[in-house]
Amino acid sequence: MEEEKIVISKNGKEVECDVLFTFDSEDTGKAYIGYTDHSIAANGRKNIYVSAFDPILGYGQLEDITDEAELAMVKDVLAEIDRQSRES
Amino acid sequence: MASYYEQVQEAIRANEKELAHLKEELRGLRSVEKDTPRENFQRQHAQILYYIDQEQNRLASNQALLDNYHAARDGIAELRVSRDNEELDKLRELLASERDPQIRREISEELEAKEREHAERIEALETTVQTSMAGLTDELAEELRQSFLSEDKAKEEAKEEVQAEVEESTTENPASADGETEQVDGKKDDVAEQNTNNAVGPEENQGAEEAQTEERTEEIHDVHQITMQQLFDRANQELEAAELALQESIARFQEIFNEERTRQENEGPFGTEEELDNFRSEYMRRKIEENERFEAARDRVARARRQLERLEEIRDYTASLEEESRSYGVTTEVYEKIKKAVSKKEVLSAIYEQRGLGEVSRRTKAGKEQADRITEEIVANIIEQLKTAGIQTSAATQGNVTQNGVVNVNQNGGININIIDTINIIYGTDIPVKGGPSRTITMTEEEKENVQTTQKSRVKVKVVPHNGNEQEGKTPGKAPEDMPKVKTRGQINAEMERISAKLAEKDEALSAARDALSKAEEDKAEASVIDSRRKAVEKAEREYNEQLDRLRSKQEEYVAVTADGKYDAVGTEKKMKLINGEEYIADEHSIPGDITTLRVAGGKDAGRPAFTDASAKKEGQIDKKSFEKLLNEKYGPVPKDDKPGNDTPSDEDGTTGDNPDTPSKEDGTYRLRGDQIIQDEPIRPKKDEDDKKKEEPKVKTQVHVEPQVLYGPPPFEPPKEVKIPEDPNKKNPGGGTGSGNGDGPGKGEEPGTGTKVHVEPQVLYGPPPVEKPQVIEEPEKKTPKRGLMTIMEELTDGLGLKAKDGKRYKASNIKVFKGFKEELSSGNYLYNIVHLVPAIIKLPFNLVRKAVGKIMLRAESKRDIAELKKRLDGLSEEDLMTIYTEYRGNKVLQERYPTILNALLEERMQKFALGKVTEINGELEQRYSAAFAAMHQINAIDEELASEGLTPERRKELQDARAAVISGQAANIATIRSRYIEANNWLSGGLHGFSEDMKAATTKLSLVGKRFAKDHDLNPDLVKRQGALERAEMQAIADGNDEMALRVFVENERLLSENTEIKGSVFGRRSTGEKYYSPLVEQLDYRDDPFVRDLFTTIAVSSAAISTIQSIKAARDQAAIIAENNRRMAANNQTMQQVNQMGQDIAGKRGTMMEGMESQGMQDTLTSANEIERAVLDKTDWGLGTSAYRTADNAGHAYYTTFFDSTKQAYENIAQQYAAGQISQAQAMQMMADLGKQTHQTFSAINTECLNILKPYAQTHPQFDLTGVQGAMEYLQANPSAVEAMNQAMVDVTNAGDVLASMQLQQLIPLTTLPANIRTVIINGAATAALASNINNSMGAKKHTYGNAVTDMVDEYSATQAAQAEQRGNSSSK
Repeated sequence: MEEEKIVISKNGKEVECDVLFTFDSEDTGKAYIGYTDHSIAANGRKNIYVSAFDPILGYGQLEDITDEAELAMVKDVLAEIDRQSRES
Repeated sequence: MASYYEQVQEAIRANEKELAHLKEELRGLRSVEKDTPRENFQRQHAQILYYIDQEQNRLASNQALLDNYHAARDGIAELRVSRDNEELDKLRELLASERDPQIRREISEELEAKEREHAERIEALETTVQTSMAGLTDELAEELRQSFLSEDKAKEEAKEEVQAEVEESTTENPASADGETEQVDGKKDDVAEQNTNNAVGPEENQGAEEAQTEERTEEIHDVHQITMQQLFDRANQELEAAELALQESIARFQEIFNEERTRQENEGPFGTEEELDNFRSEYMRRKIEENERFEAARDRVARARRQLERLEEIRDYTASLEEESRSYGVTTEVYEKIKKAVSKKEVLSAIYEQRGLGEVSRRTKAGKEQADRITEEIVANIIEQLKTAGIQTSAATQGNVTQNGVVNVNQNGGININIIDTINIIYGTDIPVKGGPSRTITMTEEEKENVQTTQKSRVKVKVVPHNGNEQEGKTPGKAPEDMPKVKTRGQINAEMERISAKLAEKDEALSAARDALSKAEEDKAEASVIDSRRKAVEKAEREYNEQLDRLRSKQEEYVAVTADGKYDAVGTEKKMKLINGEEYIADEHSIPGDITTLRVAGGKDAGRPAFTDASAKKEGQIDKKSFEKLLNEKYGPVPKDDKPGNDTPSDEDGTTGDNPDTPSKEDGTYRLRGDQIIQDEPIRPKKDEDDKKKEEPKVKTQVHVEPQVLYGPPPFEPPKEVKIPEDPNKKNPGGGTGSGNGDGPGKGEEPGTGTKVHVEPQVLYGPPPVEKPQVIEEPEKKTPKRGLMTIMEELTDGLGLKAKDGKRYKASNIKVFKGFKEELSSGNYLYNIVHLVPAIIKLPFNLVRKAVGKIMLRAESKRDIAELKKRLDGLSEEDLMTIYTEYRGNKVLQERYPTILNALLEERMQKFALGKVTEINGELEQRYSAAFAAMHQINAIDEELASEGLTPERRKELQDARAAVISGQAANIATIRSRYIEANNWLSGGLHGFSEDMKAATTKLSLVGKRFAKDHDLNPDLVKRQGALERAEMQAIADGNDEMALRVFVENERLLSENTEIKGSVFGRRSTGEKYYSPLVEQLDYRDDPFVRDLFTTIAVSSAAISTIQSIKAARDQAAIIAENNRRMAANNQTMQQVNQMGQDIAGKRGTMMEGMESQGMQDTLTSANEIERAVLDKTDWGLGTSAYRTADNAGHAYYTTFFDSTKQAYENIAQQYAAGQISQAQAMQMMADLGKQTHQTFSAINTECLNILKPYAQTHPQFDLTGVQGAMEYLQANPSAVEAMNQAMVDVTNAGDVLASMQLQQLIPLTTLPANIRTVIINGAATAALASNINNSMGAKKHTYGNAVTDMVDEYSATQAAQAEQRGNSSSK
C-alpha cells in the first residue's frame, strides 16, 4: 500500500500529515479519510483526524463529520482495521 | 603565550607540513633509485617510511585530540543548556497548582516521561563528555574547563555590573549610602592588612601562611557544606515527589477497586458472558495501567532513597577527610588528592617493594592495618616533603601536580600524584573536572548559619496503604476478598442447577444410608456395624444439610436480586444495551469541539466506555486473552471461580469452591437427562427428624414436563386456532373440556395429549342444524413443537451474517496505508479520534478518485440475505407463531442476532400478522352480514306479523321462522367483539406497536398522528349512549337473549357510523366527525394523503436529479473538476447549465425520434408487403400470372393494405390528439412506441411465416443466392423485441431529458447541502415512495376512499331505516 501525505493548516502553520486510511460508504454517499500529524493530545494519545470528502472530487474539499452515526461508523472501521492489523 | 588548543592546532599544521616534506623526500629518492646504490636506497627508503609512519601517528593523535576537544566542548555546552529544562519546570509548576486528580495524573505521567527522557539525554551527553575529556591531555582538559569558567565568570560580572548600575540608581536611599560607606571602610582595612602582611618577616610569614591554609580549609569546608546541603535538599525533594506520586497511585488503585465494586453491585449480573468479559477486561486493563504507574513511582522512591544513602556516605567521608586534613595542616582538597593517589595499589606496591614488605594485601586484618599505616606514613611524608620543598599546600599550587596516576619521587625530588576531586566529579558542578582546582565559593554569613553539620534525610517514608490483599512492598494484587462476585444470569442458573443436582445426590446418599441403618437394625446386626451405619447416616445428614444451606442462601440472593428488578425485569435492557451500546457520545474527557472518545450514550449509567473488545483494544491495546495472560504473569493465575463459564463444580458439594451460592427452589429443579428435561421433586428444608420423615419421600419421583425456561415468566401458550365459528352456548356432548372432568389433559400431563374433539361448522342463522354425532378420534402422537432456538438455528445455519449488515451506515472499500498498519500491528497504540475540517494546503492528486467507487454490500452478504429471506418465507405458521410470541423484548436483546436478521424477521412477521388480520376480517364480514341479514328478516317478519288477518298457521309459521332467524345471534355478536379485539391486537403488534400508535395519536408529530388524531372535545352524551348500549349488549349476550343482543348491536354500529364523517383535508381524507367507524380492522393508510404523495414525488425527483448530476460529474474531465474546486458554486452552476443543455438536447430530439418511430412502423408495413410478395412468388415457384400466384398475391395485397391503413390511421390518430392538446408530446411518444410495438409484432409474425416459405425455396433453387435475405429474416426472428426495446428507450431518455431540462440549481442545492444523515433519509424516502407507488399501482385504484363492504352495509341499513322512518312519518302525517 502506498504512503501518502497531505498538508493542512493548523494554528496558522503548515503541518504535513500522513494519510492512514480511506474508505467509502454507500449510505452517506461519501468517502472518508483518516490522517495524523503525529501530535499527542493531553491524555498522551496520538490524534487521528477524520474527515469526509466527495468521492467524485477526491480530497478536493474535506468536510466535517457531524453525525453521530457516521462517527460511530468511523470508529467501527478503525476498530476493524485494528483487528485486521493484529490478525495479519 | 598560545593556548594549548592553539598549540595542538599548530602541531597539526606542523605534522602535515612534515608529512608533505617526507613524502616529497620519498618521491625524490624514488626518482633517483636507479642511480642510487641498492643498499643506500633501501636504508633511506625505510627511514623515510618510518618517519612518515611516525608523523602520521602524531598527526592522527593530534587530530584525535582536537576532535575530542571539540566533542567535549560541544557536549559541555549542550549539557549546560540541557540541564535547565523549562518544559519540565513548567510541568512541575502545573502539577503543583493543579487540584483535579485526573489532570494531576495526566500531568504526572507526562512529567515522568519527560524526566525520563531528559535524564537519558543528560546521561548520554555526560558519557560523551567524559569519554571526550578522557581523551584530552591534562592541559587541554583544564583549558577547556577554564574557558567555561571564564565564560561563567564573565556572565556573572556582567550581571553584577548591571546590578550595580541598578543600585547606583537608587542612591537616594540613606541606608544604601551607609552601607556603601561601610564597604569602603572595609576595603581600606583589607588594604591595610595586606600591606601589613607584606611587611612581616619569614616566620611571621609562615604563620600567616598556615593561617591562610586554615582559613582556606574552613572555606572549602563551608563550600562542601553548602554543596552537600543543596544535594540533600534536592534529594529530599525528589523523595517527597516520588512518595507523593506513589500515594496518588495507591489512591487511584483504591478508586478503581471501589468503582469496580460499586458497579458490580449496581449493574451485575451481566446479560452475557461477553459483557462480563468486557467488564473484567476493562478493569484488568485499568489495574495493569495503574500498576505500571505504581511500580514506576515505587522505583522512583527507591532511587531517591539510594541517592540519600549515597549522599550520607559522601558526607561522612568528607567529614573524615576534613578532620584528617586539619591534623596535617593542609586543605581538604590537597589531602584528599594525596591520599587517593597514595591509596592506589601500584603506589603501595612500589613502596612495599622498596622496603621489602612483599605484596600489598588487605585481605587480612594485619595486612589492612599495615597498608593503612604505610599509606598514612606516605601521606605524611609527602606533605612534609611538599612543605619542605616550599610548595604551598593549597589549591593554588595544583600546577605542581601531574596526573599520571602514580605517585613516585621524580628526579628532582618532587612528587607526582594523581588528583581526583571526588566531590566535584560525582556531585560537583556541571563541568567535569580533570585534575583542575576546585572552584572557590565564599559563603555569606547567612549561608554559614544555615549550614547543617549533620545532614540527614528529612523525609519519613510513609507506610504504603494497600487494598488488603497484597503483600507489603508487592504489587497491589487482586481485588479485596469482599469484592462482590459478578456473574451472568446464565451462570447463576447453571450454578443453581448444579447445586440442586448435587443436593439430589446427597438426598439419595442419605436415603441409602438410612436404608442401610434400618436394615442393620432389623437384622439385629452387631453393635459396631449399627454404630458405623449410624455415623454414616449422620454424615450424610450433615452433608445434606450443608448442601441445603447453600441452596437456601442462593435462593435468598436470587430472590433479593429479582425483587430489585435486576433479573429479567423490564428496564434491564437499557443497562445491557449501555454496556454494549453502539451509540457513542462525546464524554467529559473530550477536547471541546472536536475530540470524542468512546462513550456510551443515554441513561443514567452513561459515563463509562463501551465494553467491547474493540474498545478494549483501543483503550488498552490488548485483548481479553492477552489481558489474562498478562494478569497471570503479574498476579498469578486467576482462580477458577473468577472465570466466567469455567466454574467447575466441586465433586463434593456441587458449588464452585469458595462461593457457596446455593439456590433453593421450592418447586423443584430441572435437569437434563438425554433429550429430556427432568423435574425433580421439590426439596423441602428439614425441620426435625419427624417432619423430615413425613415430608421427604423415600423414593424420588420424576415428572416429565415440557422444556421451559427455568426462571422468568411462564412459557407462552399459543392461542387456540379458531377455524369455525364457535357457539359457547353449545356444549360438547360427551365430555368436559380439559382437566376438570378427567377427560382432558390434567395437571402434570402433556398438554394436547387428551381427547381431541372436532365440531362440525355451525350455521349462523336460519334453522338450527341437526346435531350430528361426534367423531371421537384416538389421541395422536404429537410431534413436539419446534422451539425458538431451533428455528433460529435453521434460519441462520451457514449464513455469514455480519453485525454490520443491518447497520444504518456501512463502510466499504477500506484502504489502510502501510505506516498505519505497521503501527497498529505493533500493538502499542493509543489514539483519539478527532473530526474536523482542516484547511487543505497540499493534496495528493494521485489519490483523487476518478469515479464513484462501487460501494455495495459484498456479494456474499447479498446472497446470505437473499437466502435468509427465502428461509423466512418458508417458515411454517407454527414456527412463525413461535417467533411472534417468544422472540420479543429481553429475548431479542439476549440473543443478539445480527440486525439484518431482526429487520427481515420484522418484515416477515408484519406479513404474517397482516395475513391473520385479513383472515379475521373475512370472518367478521360474514358475521356482520349474518347479523344485518337477520335484522332485515326480523323486521320483515315483524311487519307481516303486525298486519291483520293472518291465519293462525301463518302466524305460527312466521313466529317459528323468526325464532330460527334470531337464534344464535348473541353468540355471533360475542364472537364479532372478541375477534375484533384479537385482530386489533395482531395489528397493533403488541405493547410496542400500541405505544407507538398512542404516541402518534397523542403528539401528532407523525404523519399517522396528523391524519388520524381527533380534535374534538369529549361528548358526554355520546359516551353515555355508547356505555348503555355496550352494557345492554353484554347483558344480552350473557343471558343468551339473541334478539336483544342483535338489536343493541345494530343500534351500536349505527351510532358509530352516523357519527363518522369522511371528508377531504390537507392531510387527506379522514373523518371529521366525532367517531371514525371502522368495523373491520385496518392498517392506517396514508397512501392517498396528498401531503405524503407530494413529498414522495419531490423526493423521488430530487434524488433522481442528484444521481444524474453525479453521473454527469463523474463523466466529465476530472482535472477540470479539480481545478474548479475553489469555485464550487460556479462549478455547480456550470454543471447545471450542462444538465439543462443536455436535457434540452435530448428532449429536442423527441420529434426526430418520433419521426423515426413512425417511419419504423411504416417501414414494418412496407417490409411486410415486400416479404409477402416474395413469399407469394416463392410459394408459386415464381409462376407469375398463374392462377395460384394471382390468388395468393391478391390475398397478400389485401392483407398488407389493411395492415398499412390501420397503422397509418393509428399514427394519424395520435398526431391528432397531440395537435388538439389532448395529450402531451411525451404521451404521444409513448403511444407511438406502443403502436410501433404492435406493428413490429405483426411484422415479426409475417416474417416468421414468410421465412418458412423462403427456406425450402432457397434449398430447391441453388442457382439463386438467397443467403442475405434469409439471414436478415432469421435475425429478425431471433430478436423480436429489439425494435420495441429501442422505442421504449427513446421514450425514457426523452422523458429524462424533460426533467433535466427543467432542473434548477435551487432545487438541488438544499439537498446537496443537507447534513448527510438527512439526505440519506430523504433518498431512502424516495425508495420508499417508489415502493409505495408500485404497491398502490399494483393494487389498483381503491374502490372506496373510506370504508368497506361492512360500512356500506351499515350505511345502507341506516339509509333504509331513515327512509322507512320518513315514510312512516309521512304516513302518519297524512
